[in-house]
Amino acid sequence: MEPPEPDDVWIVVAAYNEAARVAATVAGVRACGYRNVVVVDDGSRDATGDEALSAGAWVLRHAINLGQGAALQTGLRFALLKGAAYLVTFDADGQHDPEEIARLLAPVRSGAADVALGSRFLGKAENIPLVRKLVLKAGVVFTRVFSGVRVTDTHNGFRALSRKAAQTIRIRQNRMAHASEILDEVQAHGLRYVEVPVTIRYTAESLAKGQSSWNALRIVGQLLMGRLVR
Amino acid sequence: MILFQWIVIPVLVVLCLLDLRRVLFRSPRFQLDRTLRALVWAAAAVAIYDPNLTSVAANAIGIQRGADLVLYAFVLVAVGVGFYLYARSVRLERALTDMVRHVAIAEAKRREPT
Repeated sequence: MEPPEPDDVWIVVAAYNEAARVAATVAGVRACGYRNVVVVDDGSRDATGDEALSAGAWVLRHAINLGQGAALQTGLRFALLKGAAYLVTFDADGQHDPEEIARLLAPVRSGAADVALGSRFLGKAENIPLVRKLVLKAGVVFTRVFSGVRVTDTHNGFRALSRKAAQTIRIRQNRMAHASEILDEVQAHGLRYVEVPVTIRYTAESLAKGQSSWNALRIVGQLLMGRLVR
Repeated sequence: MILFQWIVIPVLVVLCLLDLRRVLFRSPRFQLDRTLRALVWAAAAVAIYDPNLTSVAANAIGIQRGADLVLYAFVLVAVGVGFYLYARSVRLERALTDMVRHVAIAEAKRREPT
């Protein structure tokens, strides 16, 4: 067994109505040696917060549902206040593999990058529906044109950040457009980034709850309007 | 004057006077928004009293019909108001987010797994 990870790594999980999955997600992460797990319960109507608390996570509760971007920013700020040196954003629904956190963190820990972005297209996307794949690919093209960032996977929630990067990046897009906004921020602040192959496991549950592919259009709209309002 | 003019023009004049009274006598400092609003009421009253005046104004800037000038002005104002309200709602949402975040961090809790 590998030695436990040091406590300077904080895992930030945004969760909305994930009572059925969040405890397993937190337990999986903690089993890999990461004791500091922050779950931001984004105004869930179920027992997401209680389940995360029982699994040993720090739980922060948004009084109302604000969106994944807002929840991540809350979690990142809390982790920074607690002295986090490295921060990892991780999905609540079990799509990510906690065993891959160490690999994702490696370039940030070594100082080779400020931000490590997980890529399912460099790694594996198990059971990904064709429409979802096409929409994500379109997102890659859009990001290249719109933000000038060349990545293979723009909307992957599995990322690792240095403390400096987490302090620098400011997520103001409350909802799903935050993923593109993070890339914008990386580019705008000249943060060094690398992509790391990761595995995303699509299940019937995660697909049922996840974003509709049509939301891509809404994300584009949010992003464009968000740029107009400062 | 037709019945419509008898009904609407007095209302517009009253609205204009109310705004002007606030600007001139009730407020210690100049209020641009109320002044602009008073001007809009006055312009609307004049245009309804004599619709040909809109044609004169339209012709002066190269538009043939007064109705077209009104339509163009309406579209421009609607777009401006729409964007203004959107920007206001975004800023309000950001303020709300900051408040919710502040409370969430202040009330963070944790217990070891049983």
